[in-house]
Amino acid sequence: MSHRILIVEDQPDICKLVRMTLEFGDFEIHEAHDGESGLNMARAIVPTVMLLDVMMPGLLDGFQVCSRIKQDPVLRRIQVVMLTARGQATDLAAGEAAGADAYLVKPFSPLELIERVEAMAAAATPM
Amino acid sequence: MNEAFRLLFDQVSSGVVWVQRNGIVRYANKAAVQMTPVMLGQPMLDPVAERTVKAAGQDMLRLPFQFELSTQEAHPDTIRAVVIGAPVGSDLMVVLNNVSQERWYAHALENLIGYIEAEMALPIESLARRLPQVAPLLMQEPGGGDMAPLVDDAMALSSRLGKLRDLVSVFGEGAMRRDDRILLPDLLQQALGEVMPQARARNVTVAVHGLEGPLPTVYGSAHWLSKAVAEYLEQSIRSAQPGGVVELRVQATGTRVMVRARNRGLFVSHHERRSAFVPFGVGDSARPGDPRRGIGLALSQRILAQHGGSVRIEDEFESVDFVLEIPAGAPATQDAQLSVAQAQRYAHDMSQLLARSMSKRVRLDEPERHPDSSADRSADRSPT
Repeated sequence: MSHRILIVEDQPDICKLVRMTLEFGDFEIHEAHDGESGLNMARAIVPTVMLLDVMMPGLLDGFQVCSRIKQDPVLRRIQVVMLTARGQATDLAAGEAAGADAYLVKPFSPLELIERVEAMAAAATPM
Repeated sequence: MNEAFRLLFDQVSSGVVWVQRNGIVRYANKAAVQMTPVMLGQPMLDPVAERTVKAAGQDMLRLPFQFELSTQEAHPDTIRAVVIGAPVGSDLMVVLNNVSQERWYAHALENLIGYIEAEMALPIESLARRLPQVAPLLMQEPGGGDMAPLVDDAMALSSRLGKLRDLVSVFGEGAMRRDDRILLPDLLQQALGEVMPQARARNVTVAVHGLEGPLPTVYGSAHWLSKAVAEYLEQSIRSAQPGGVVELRVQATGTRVMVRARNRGLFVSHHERRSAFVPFGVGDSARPGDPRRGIGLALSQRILAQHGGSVRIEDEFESVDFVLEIPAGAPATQDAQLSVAQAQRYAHDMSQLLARSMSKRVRLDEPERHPDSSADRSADRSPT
């Protein structure tokens, strides 16, 4: 069974590269391009893994989306990987506070990304 | 030439030369004569101007045509000239502007900014840092009480110099390019803390609404944005009537966050509205005794503009609103450098991704090569 993966990323180039990477695996890939639509799509499709950019324009940034997902009893099982160019300790702490399951600093290794997503998907209980 | 045109052109500060299509000058205003030599009834005396006008008269140039001249002085100024069609008939006009003079004013401002940055920034910072330490010691000296007004003046001067230094700093845009993650409630609470002493001094109450609910984060320079918000709030408080109430509302709409400080029973004239964002400005009609405007809103506007936001004054029926807007979330810009770096990582890992994908496919195919099935296939292939 292929797992649903949701990419929430506002930069089209990065989004495309993440999709191209995940296409090497057996996933059903969905995309959203800002925090609000990402959260709405997560509610609609309940993905196994969500790849979430931190800095996005609009009312919700990545940390806020992650925090809402982890506070929602239905969505909290979604594995959230924060994707960000911000790799400072305070940012990692903010990700942890928001309940993120993993943190990849851009530019990240696509190999590491797909391995991590596959591991998370394999470990995930069926939704 | 029509007398009305002559009167009109004599009033303008740009040089205007009216020429026939054969290049003969019919009229030149006073400003033009100061910029380039001309005599009525003759071609323009500057050879570049003469050639250009003649070419335009022969339809060899597409109008408007811009070119440059120099004044005939020991240290010549640069004149920007434009050939256009005359308002009536088939004649031509050359409009002249002294670019060097315009540049001089721009340079004067740049020089002033550079001077403040190079010569005054450190002493201003040192004064702001040390004055609060020195002032109490001074007051403890015998007769120190008499020094209180001087200390107050020194504090006020230090604060104004600090703002001047900030204003100069924000002209260097590089200083502001940061992407700190800023929580709006924290930003506003910090700025409110800074301006509350002024509100108390004027007996102005600040009623805050909208900080309780979820608010978006904003991205930018935490240092400069907190200054911008504090200056904006200070201006709202300074504009309020003593004993009045400033209602501060925070609202997130679409992709923007709006902070609205409402002063009831207050009106702002068009003149005040125009001059509010001009640092130091009081306008032409100011009397010598009029207080000069501060640099608060100008500073605030400059900082917010560099974050994609704005500050404005809105007149409602019975109130004046100071409105601050800032984009919610991160700026909607494509980070080309990051995209390139990510693409390079992708290219670097590509062969391993392919190899990984192939080996997985092979593993998936393996059960089909079970000895029994292989025997079946060989049996299938055997001649019947």
